[in-house]
Amino acid sequence: MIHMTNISKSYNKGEIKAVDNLSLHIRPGEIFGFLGPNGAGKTTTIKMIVGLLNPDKGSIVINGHDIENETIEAKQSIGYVPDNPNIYDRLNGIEYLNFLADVYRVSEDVRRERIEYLLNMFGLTDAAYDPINTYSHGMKQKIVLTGALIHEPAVWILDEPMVGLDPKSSHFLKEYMREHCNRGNTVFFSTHVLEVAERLCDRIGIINKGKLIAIGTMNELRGGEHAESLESIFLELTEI
Amino acid sequence: MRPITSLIKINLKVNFGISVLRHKLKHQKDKRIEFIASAIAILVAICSLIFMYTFILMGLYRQSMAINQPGLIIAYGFVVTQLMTFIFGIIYIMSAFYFSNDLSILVPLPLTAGDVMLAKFITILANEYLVVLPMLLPPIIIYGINEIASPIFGIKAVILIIFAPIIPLAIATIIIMILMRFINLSRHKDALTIIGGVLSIFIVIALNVVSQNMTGTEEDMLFKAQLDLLEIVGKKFPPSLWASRGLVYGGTEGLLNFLVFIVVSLLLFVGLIALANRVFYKGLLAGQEASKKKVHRPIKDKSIKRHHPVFSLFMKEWKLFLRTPIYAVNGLIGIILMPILILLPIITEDSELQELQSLIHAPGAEMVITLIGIALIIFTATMTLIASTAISREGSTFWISKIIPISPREQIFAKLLHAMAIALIGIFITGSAYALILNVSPARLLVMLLIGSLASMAINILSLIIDVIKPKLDWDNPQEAVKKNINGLYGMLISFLIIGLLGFVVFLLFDRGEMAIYSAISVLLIILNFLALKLLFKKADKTYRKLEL
Ligand SMILES: Nc1ncnc2c1ncn2[C@@H]1O[C@H](COP(=O)(O)OP(=O)(O)O)[C@@H](O)[C@H]1O
Ligand SMILES: [Mg+2]
Repeated sequence: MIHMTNISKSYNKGEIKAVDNLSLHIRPGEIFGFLGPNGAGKTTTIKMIVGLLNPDKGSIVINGHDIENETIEAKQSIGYVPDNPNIYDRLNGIEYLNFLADVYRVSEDVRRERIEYLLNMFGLTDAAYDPINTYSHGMKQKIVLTGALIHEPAVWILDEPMVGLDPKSSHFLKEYMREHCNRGNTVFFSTHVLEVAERLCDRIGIINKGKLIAIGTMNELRGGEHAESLESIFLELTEI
Repeated sequence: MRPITSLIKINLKVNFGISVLRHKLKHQKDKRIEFIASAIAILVAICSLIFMYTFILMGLYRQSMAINQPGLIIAYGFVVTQLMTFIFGIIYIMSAFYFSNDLSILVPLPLTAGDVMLAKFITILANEYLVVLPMLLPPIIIYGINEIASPIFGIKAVILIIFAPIIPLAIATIIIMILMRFINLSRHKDALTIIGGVLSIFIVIALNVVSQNMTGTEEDMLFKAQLDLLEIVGKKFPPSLWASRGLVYGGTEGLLNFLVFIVVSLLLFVGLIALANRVFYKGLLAGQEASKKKVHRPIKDKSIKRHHPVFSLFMKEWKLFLRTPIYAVNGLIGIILMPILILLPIITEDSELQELQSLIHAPGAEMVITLIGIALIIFTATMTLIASTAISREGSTFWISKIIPISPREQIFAKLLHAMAIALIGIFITGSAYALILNVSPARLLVMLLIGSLASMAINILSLIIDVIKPKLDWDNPQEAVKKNINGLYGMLISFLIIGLLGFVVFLLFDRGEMAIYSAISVLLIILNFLALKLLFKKADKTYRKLEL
């Protein structure tokens, strides 16, 4: 569902190589956890997938659409939540969601059902008509999540989605990710909370200094040795 | 380095965008030309203002020589400067102390309120010198040249210029600080911005009424008004007089005035810092508590109605524009103000109006009146800055525009619709007011509205192109997106260019009759619109792809 082939990205005219010749293939039905220490290149990779950054080289195909040539179709397939979202905070919650439903061309019946369901699960129904600039950080995060999922995109791309969520919402999100993938869709999320990755992900990729240094299921990463936790694998691999 | 010195340094750097500028000049060669171009544009604008001011001062100087009071010009300079510093100070301080985002970072740092106040105060002071220098230097130079000044005059002048903004700025700060302690201004932030906007409309109208009443015996009246100003401000606010006496008078009287001015400035400054330590943070914190009552409202059908994406984008623009006071005030002030100014003679029952109206029916006059009307309409409709800041205003929310599955041209088209909607309202109101007061026939009004709309469309498209090519997305206060955005200035320049272009066409075809002029202008504008729109779409596709964030 997500095909990244040899993508690279550097900042400041090549001074900082944030992502270095990365290739990744995420399959349908898969929850993929993207791990790495701070500054490893997770956010940079994600921004290239959703089209906020242009890769210096390499290609990215989402749900069969190349993001260079079939931009609109690729975008329609993505639901993206940035790590630190700034949204139109002069709109109220409902206006923001309805705006997104319009631009993603969601029918009235479907948008009603999803908005009501998601707001209810996130405990945001009471605040739906409040201006977004009165929201707390977590509430903002939740309204962005709701907006990103309103068109049931095939591919979810979430940058550190659990940060700032209360336990109930983060539990709900994990369940919802699982359901989504069971329908044959894909979730790609970055995190540095290892327990979440360990419990939730079908496969895990570890990135360090812009390079993918390990990829596989938990079992494969352990290399057969049962006792080893993801934490020790992570520490071992990123230490070098 | 002491923390306070580095805090001041950082504030100054951020204020003048030095780090960003240096980075840009160093790393992006193509930005250099653009920087130089902007610098020249700003310089030209400022120079013409200073020129006008100096011209007024020369008149004043001649008059005050006649009554043997050459020092009046200095007093006038100080009064005007300190008045301006005070007014600007109130605005700067409100936004720097209470509405800015960096305070949430500064407050938890191990600095005293006095330190933070000091850093902010010095930064604002640096801004104020940009006002003080062009206001004070001309009178001092005029006086200095004509009265053959001594070196001591020069030294005193430099010191006084340095101290000039301190007293008014300190007073402004103290007023705001105390006000904040008792009234929660930041909760009424939006209301305040609107009140400020409305107030400035009234000031413009008042100035207009005053200047209209002054026609006839102009220079004398102006002089009298200046003397009145001197007397009023001098009485209520003696520091201006101390400063000017300190500079103009020699001997002990001069020295005494000079010293009083300096000492009072220093005392106020120290007092301010002391006061800051007591009340500054308390006032700030009072501003942070939001009051909210919870009501459960089920989701209404109306609020999840489906629209075409372009319409939805248009509605979003419209809502954000109206709900962000600084945008609304800036965008609407022109279209509210202009009709009022046009209708003012009726309201004040100006006797010249009837003369004017009788002139209109002279042969040939109707065409000229129509053409002037068109120019006026174009001017009003494009003062709004809506198009020339359309992308800049998105700021840190621009990522949404980049990820939604809507083509850049459709997004830009929604922005054009928004700019045109406001422009059309302005065109209609201004055109009608103009037609009403000058008895313009309905047919000519129609021509005015049509050509006005075509021209403002061209201007809006060209302004959008400018903002698309180089949007200013990096801001944290919406004010910066409109007020500190060079694209707004370019947008204004474009309107002048278009008005100039149309004027040239009129000049070429003046003898060919009205029909020829109107049709030539219309055809020209239609072609221009067509070409500009194509260019806009092309640029939009490119920029939306290229911009990274
Ligand atoms: N806009 C930028 N300009 C320059 N360097 C950047 C920029 N954004 C990220 N970087 C650098 O790129 C590297 C990767 O950053 P990022 O992708 O944000 O890491 P992560 O999300 O894994 O913490 C870091 O070294 C960071 O400093
Ligand atoms: Mg990151």
